[in-house]
Formats: sequence, C-alpha cells, structure tokens
Amino acid sequence: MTAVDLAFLLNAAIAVYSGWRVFRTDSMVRASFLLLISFLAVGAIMLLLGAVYLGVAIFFMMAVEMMIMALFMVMFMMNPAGLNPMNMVHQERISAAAGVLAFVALGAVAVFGEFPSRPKPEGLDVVARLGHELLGDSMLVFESAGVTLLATMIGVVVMSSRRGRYGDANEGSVPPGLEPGGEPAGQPPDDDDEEHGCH
Amino acid sequence: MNWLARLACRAPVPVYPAIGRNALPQIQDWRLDARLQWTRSPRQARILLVAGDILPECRPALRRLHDQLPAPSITLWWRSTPLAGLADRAVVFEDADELGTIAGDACRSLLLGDRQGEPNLCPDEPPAPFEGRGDHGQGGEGMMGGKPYGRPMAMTAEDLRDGLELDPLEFSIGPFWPVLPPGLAARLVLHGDVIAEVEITSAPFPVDLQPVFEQALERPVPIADLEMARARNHLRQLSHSMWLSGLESASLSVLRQVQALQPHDSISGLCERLRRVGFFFSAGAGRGEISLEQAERLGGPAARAAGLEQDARTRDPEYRKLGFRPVGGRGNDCRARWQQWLDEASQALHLAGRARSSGAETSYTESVEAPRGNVQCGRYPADASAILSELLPGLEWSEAMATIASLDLAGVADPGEGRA
Amino acid sequence: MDLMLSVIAVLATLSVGAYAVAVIDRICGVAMGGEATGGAGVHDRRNPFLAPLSRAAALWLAPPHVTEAPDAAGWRLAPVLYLTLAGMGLAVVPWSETFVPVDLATGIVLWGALEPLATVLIFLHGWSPNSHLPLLGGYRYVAVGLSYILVSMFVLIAVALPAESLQVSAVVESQQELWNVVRQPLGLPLFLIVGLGISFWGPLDFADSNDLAGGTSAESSGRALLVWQFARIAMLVSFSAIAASAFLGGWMGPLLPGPIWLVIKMVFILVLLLVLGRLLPRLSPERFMTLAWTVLLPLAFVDLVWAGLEALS
Repeated sequence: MTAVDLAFLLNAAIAVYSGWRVFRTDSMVRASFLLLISFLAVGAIMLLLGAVYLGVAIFFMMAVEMMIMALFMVMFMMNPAGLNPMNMVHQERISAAAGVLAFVALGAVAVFGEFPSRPKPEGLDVVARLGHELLGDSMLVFESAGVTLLATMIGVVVMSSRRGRYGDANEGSVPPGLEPGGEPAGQPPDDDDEEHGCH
Repeated sequence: MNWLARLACRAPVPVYPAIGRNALPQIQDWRLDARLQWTRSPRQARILLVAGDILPECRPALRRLHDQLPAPSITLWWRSTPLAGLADRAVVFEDADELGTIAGDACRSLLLGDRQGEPNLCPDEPPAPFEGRGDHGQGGEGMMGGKPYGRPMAMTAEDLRDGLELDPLEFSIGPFWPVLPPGLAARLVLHGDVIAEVEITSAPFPVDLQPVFEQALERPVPIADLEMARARNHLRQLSHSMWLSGLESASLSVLRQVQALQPHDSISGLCERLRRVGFFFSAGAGRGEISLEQAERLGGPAARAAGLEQDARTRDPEYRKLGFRPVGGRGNDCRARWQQWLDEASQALHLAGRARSSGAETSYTESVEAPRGNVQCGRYPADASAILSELLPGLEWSEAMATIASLDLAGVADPGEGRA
Repeated sequence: MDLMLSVIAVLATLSVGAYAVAVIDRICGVAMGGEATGGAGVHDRRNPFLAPLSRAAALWLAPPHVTEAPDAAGWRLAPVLYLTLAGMGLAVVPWSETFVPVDLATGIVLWGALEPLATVLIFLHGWSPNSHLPLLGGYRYVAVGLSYILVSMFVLIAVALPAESLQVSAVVESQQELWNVVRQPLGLPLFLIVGLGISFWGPLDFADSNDLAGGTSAESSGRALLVWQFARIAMLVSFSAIAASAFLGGWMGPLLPGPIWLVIKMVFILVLLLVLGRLLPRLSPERFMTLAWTVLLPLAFVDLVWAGLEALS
C-alpha cells in the first residue's frame, strides 16, 4: 500500500461521499460546492494517473462551472445558507432506479473489463505529447469541437438578448392587438402553473 | 498569554461610532488619531462610541447596535445621555482629546480581564413570533416566501432590469451606519446588487447651523470666517466621498489639511491629484442624476451644480466687491457635485484670503448662504432624504452609496426650537 | 526530506512575506500621507515593524462572533482554504535552478486554476455567514471575477510560449537573454490587474469594500478575521512570486544567489501592488466589467499574438 494507493483511496472516498451529499443537502449552494469537491477529488485522481494537464484543467473548469452554478442558485433563491428548508430532489424513485442501474453497469465494466496494462514510459513529457496530439492527429476533432462550442455560446447570447428583428423581444414576440394598443390577439388563457411543493 | 495581551494593548483600539447630532466633524477629526482604529462593522469593534445626542426614536436601534458588538465590549458616551440599561456604569466624557486615552484604558482593561463587558440590552429572541402555513413555518407559495420568525423569506419578483423572475433581497440599513448620513435608516429591496425600492424609515438627524452663519443672520460678520467655514465643510464632505470610493489615504490627508486650513491656501494640488488617479471615474461618478425640481428641493451646492443659480451671496455688495461670481452648472450627476465642492472650496479660500486682508464684513443679513443651502430667519433647509426613493432605484449598490454621500440630505435645525 | 524542506520553505515565505507586506503597506501609507499619526503617546503606534504584530495580537484576542444559522463549515474553512491556495501557488515557483518545492509540469495551468478556486472561496466566505452585506460582497466579486480570469489565462499562455513548456521553471529559464517584461510589454501591466483582482485589493476590492461595511468580512471578528486577512496578504505574496518568475526572470541574476534575487523582485512587485492599492479608487462593477471585456481582453489577445509571432520568428 504505497502513498499513491492511499492518496487514490482517499480521493475516491471524498469523491463518492461528497457526490452522495449533493443529493442529501438542503441548500442549493451547498449542493453546487459539494459537487465541486467531488470533481476536485476526481481531478486529483487524474493527477495521480499521470494526466498532469487534464487533472489541473479539471480543477480550473469545474471551479468556474460550479461557481457560475452557485451564483445562479443565489439569483433564483436569495437564501443565504439555506435558512428556508426545502426538498431538493424530484422524482426520487425513477432517479434512484436509474442510478442503481448505472452503477451496476459501470461497476460491471470496471470489474469484469479487461483494461490494458500500459504504464507510462519513463521520461515521457506528457504535456508535449498532449500538445502534439491536439494539434496533430486529432486537430480536426478538437478544432471543430471548439468552433461548435463558440457557435453555441454566441447563439445563446443572441437568443437571450432582448433586441430582436421586430424590436424589443417582449413586444416583438407576441402578435399585435385587435384594437390599437389592445391585448395581443389569439393568446391562450393564462393558467397558473402549479407549484408542486418544491423549490 | 499575558505577553500577548500586552502586545495587543499597543494596537490601535477598534472603535465603532454611533454618530448622533452634530458629532460628524469631531468623528472625522478623531479619524486622524493613531490610537484609534475605526472599524467598518460593529462586529470587529470592542468599543462603541456614542457621540452626539441620539433622538428618542433611534434609541431602540442604539440598543440593538449595542448588542451587535461581540461581548465583552464597553460603550463610551460623548455629549450624549447613556441608555437606560447602562446608566450606572456608563463612561461619559466631555473633552474630545481624551478619547484616545479613555478608549485605550477601556480596551486594556478588557484585554487584561480587569473589567467585564457590558450586559446585553435586548432579549435573545427572534424579532417576531413564528408565522407561516407550512410545517417549518414557511408560507407564501409552496416552499418559498412567508415570514418564519418574523424575517421575510425570499419570494420571486420580476427583476427591474429585464423582467426575469428572480429573488429580491429585502433588508433595512441604518440609522448608525457611518456610510450614510447620521440617523438615516432605510428599508431596501435589492435585485442582485441593484436597488429596486427604497423606503426611508428614519430621516437623518437635523444638523445645527454653525454659529458664524447664525450670527450672519443678525449682524455683519467677517467674510473670511464665513468662507473658511464653508471651505472646511465642503472638504469634509469630499473626504467622506473619497473614503467611500477607496481612497482612504487621500481622505485622511484631506482631513489633515482641513484642520490646518488657512485663507489663501490652494487646493489645486488636491484637484490635480484626484483627476490623475481617476476619482472622477470611480463608482457612481456618472450616475445619481437629479432632475431640476429635485435640485430645487435640495438647494445648496447640488442645485448650483445642476445649473440653478441660487446663491444668496450674489445679493451682498461686499461679496461683489471681492469679485464673487457663483460657480456651477457642471451637471446633475455625482461627478458634478464633487467638482462643485472642490470649486466652491477653492473659491471660498480665495475669497477668505482677500477678505482677511481687506477686513470685509457681510452687509446682507436677510439670507445667508450656508454650506447646506440658503438660510433665512425662520426658513431653514428641510430634510431632503425623501428624494432617495426616486433617485436610488436602478442604481448599483456602490453607485447608490456614492450618490447618497454626494448629496447633503440632513435638514438644518431651527435654533429657536431648542437644541441638544 | 525534500518534502519537508519544500513545506517549510512555502510556510516560511508566506508568514514572513505577509509580515513584510503589512510593514511595507504601512510605510507606503505614511509616505503617501494617509495614515493616522496624531494623538499623544503614539510612538509605539508609529513603529511600522511592531504595528502588524500588535494588530494581529489584538485580533487574536478579540471575541469571536457567530451569526444565526451560518454555514459553519464553509465560513470557517474559507479562510483556511484560501491560505492553502496561496500556498499551492507559491509551491510551483522555483527558488533557484535546483530547488522548486513542487515542480509541476503544468504550473502555469495551476495558476490559471487557482483564480476560479479563489473566486469560489471568496463567494463562500460571503455566503456562509447568512447575512446580507457579506452576501452582496461575494455576489459582486463573482460577477466581476470571471472577467479578469480570462485575461490572466491569455497572459500566462503568452509567457509559456517562448518557454515551450507549461512548467514555471522552464518559463524562468527561457528569460535568460531577455526578461518577459521587455519581450512582452503588455504582459506585466495586465497581470498586475489580475493580481489586484485575485486578492481583491485596492481598486478591485469588490468583496470587502468600505461601502459594504467590510463586505464578506462584515460578520467576521477575532481569529477568523485574522486568518482571512492573513490569507489575503499571503495571496498577494504568492502572486508576486509568480509575477516575478513569469515576467522578471525569477531567481536569475548576477552575483547574488537565486533566492535573494527572487525576494528582491517579489518586493518590487509587492510595492507596485501596494502603491496601486492605495492610489486608485474603486470603479463600479459594471464599469470594470466593461473595461475588462472591451479593453483588457483585446489587449490580452494582442499580447498573445505578439508572443506567438515572436516565438515563430
């Protein structure tokens, strides 16, 4: 049981425990940060596996993503530290069943799968090799994925912008009224969306 | 641990000020005392300094503030009557120079354990009984809203910027927060850090007119004295705005300059320095625009900055002889008002220098242009904090605080009604 | 043994560095005329070397304060974790040709990862006390934080290009002929802005500002406050180390041994940051965000392209 094994077991335990706590906690901000801890533990495991760049990139990306998620939680629920208790889970039975199924499937793959034993050769410059791979053989995949992501981001910003072709989005998106200045024509009756007792 | 306590005794004493009537200039002078550290929050203070008279309607808030300092703490009273629960062991002092010593002794006695702190004045219970429909006291819609333990819980409302249904944050602030004028308390509703609603729950404490301006209403007074008082007042207000926008060092040096101010002094160095570091682009500079009728209600430098030519000094021939012409018209935002303070202060110093050498005295006693605005016998500038309800919604927090600091909201007390 | 030496080096640098920053800050304050120096019997208070220690002792002995229903774990852990981040950042900086506490192959990316993690912790410090003003401080900081994280990434990539490696020691060694501050003139000014941001210092103090009654530390007192302030200063020290290594040639220099040169360069960066902190006022968050996205980010692009062209030629 070397130090690396111990570090792996510790990080794995942290990842599993904090992942479980995400669904048992009573505040959305805590849920975001517990998920962050889980991801950070996985990133640490990647460092142990020798994927130096990927591990640190996981720290970086997950920190930004969870931070934005936590901020959105606060925006939609200005509820510092969860003083208002709330039930965080929906459709528990289906989710639990799906979770168990996924665990069994992945566990079967992990236990019964034949993983090749290919230790990293000594003196391999991981970062340089990764760089050559990204901009060499796999350039098409990564560049097209990058451009697609950029297009997605620009599309989201454009779609959420208020200004449309027909003026302000709130006015341009509904048909004009039957009388000048009247209610928009042909709108279905407004029914209150029912709160199902959760956040 | 004795050596640690003795080392801690050498540190400046953390004090939180509860500023009452007419105490603001002295509080600013105390900022220059190296034995005191003025904390921004009551939680970090060991000493509560109550300076100036506290009006009866604000005394419950003072009791709550007293309990907000972490125990053990000691309260010092300057020109103020101690609260009912503390009267027997209250530390009252009159001489402003003694504060450093008294605070140091009080803090030392707390650190070395010689003295117990003061007891809490409010009972340790929630402000209102449990209220709500749900099992956990929640009410409103589903799991949100309601008032568990009397504290309003979050409930969605349309954000005023783009109609998205987000959560407003509602809380009240004041009346003893040094960022706001002394005595101003407000209930705020925020969307994110943008202010959506302001309701003034307590107006700022009325300020007493400085003696030299009061005398000017009855008989001629030396113009130099009037103008020096005006320059000092404007520079003090400017230093508060500077402190708020993060220029703490510069703000302290301005206060030091105010103490040693002489006629014919020049503040062009200060103006140049502020321009170079970008103070006129700091938080709130281009915001906080007041309409002409609001400017009319405010009077004083804010009105002149917005372009209204209201200056009682124009009717005084003595001022005209000294070459006085009213300055103003820079604009109606915070930047214009800061610039107006600087311009008026430098003009006042210039006038004071010329008046000192020629011995000029005022000759017009019908109305006097006090730093706050036009003052006539029987007609004093009224409290103007009501304009904040129209002015602040839509402003981001730092812009709103800068706007409040750039306006002179407190009314002037009528000395005939009896002062504290 | 090596590990012990690394840990001791990092901890010692953080502690001594934090003390040095407090002293230098006070000296800068007095020099700029902005320190309270009045009152009788203040010879003790004027001593800049004793002042940080006495203030720390006063904070250590100050009574703690607990709000109602805070997130206790988050509130108490946030300062400690922030200090850990500062230590992690300092650990990848080489002190000499042979001594690097942790010679991570992707040290530059680690620094990029430290900034969002610091943002998370500052937000946690503001959200945990269950109080309005700290929440606003954390909220404001996050809204702006994202803007300069991107700037820092581009600037750091530009620094890594001549070195053809993401290791900080390689970046230092690539500055043998010419320092990066000369080779990429836009880099250091932009990186200094990032440094002010990551420790929310001076003009970028959106988290703990005066107009929020102390922001995220409005409800902290006593030892928790001491650890938070210490962590903030430690982050400044750690940032100055990486800035010195990435732009000023790190430990390289004639005559004196490597560590001494690194300390001299760190002190230079720290004095710059402290003077800027005292000199410049705070912008409104919206204005700063506009500035960051419309001015700083394009400048960072230009810096990157410049570095790329230089590397190609």
